[in-house]
Amino acid sequence: MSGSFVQLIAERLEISESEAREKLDALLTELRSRAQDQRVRVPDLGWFEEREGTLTFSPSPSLRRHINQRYEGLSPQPLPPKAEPAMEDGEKSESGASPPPAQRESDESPGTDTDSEPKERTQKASRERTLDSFHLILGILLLALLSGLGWFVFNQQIPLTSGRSSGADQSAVDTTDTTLAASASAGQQESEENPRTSSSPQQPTPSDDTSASTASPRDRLNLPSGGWTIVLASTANLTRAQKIREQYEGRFADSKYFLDVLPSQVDDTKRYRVVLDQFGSKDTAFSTLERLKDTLPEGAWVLSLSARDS
Amino acid sequence: MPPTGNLTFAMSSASVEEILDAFADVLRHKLEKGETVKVPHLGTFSVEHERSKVVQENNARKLLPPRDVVVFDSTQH
Repeated sequence: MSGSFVQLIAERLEISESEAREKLDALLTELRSRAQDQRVRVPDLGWFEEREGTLTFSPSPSLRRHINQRYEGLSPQPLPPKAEPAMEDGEKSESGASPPPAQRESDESPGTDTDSEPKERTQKASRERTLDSFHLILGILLLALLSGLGWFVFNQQIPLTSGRSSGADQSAVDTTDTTLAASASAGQQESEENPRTSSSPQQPTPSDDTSASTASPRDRLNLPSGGWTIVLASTANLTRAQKIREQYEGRFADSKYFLDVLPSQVDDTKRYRVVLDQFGSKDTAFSTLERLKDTLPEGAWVLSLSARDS
Repeated sequence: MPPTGNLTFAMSSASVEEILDAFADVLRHKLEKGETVKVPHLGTFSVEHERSKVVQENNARKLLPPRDVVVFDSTQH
């Protein structure tokens, strides 16, 4: 190494290595000698000084700056006070000079035992927020459940409170035709599948042409009696079924026929059929349907009450 | 504080300035590259790295950036 240093000096001065070594030795001997009683400055390098018998060297600011070029721009950064001085100095922590809680929270550093208290507070606050959110969601669900329950109870009460009405709304009737047309074929098939037609036992309650005209006014189906009926509309909405029933009651207010809403279960769906009267035979039902075809919706069909699903 | 003075010699001024400049220039160039330089009859120069560290000054904490420092060992090996 020393040889290379001397060699570099020689190359720099364009002299021989021996000559360079000689001049360098003279230079350094003088330097050491002077450094014993004063600080000796070497330009662009630093200061040499002997302290307690030992030669020391202090680099010049220029040299310090040059060897730290890759860290240029970095400067000391102020830090917030430590949460627990005991981290580095146990005596200071015993003096009670701990920073206020707000500062401790701001100086939070993960993975230290001294920060456990703020961390617990944070976790507790987080748990409380989670609990509040849980209560809020629970309240919303409970409210939705109560609303649904109230809606269900309200709909269940409609058949009990709704009465006959003479005001018919033709436009509303027309909307039921869609339901009727869609399910007319199914109704026909349903009635066709029932083997008991006119040969089915005649029940005293169901009306035929003669009994219907002479029977006392009736307003509800007598399901145990069986027989046949004419379906005017079928809907999954009880309220809508009630409205349709009221519309047709207006049309048949002066007739012997009554209207009723017949709940049925079709493919796991509860449907409400608006039906016209109850007949003792299939032929009577069909003849009535034929006779009232101008009054009844286009898709009205005959249904056997003995073969009902529900 | 001992007196401070520039290094001068009784030799011809041109030779002194030349050898002094060459000594400082070569040594500085080596240190800037992070090399260790052993100078005969003087000592060994080297560069050491200091990591960033936190210091406490007057109840204020500071984070000192990392840096390289010049280390001089006057022991003659």
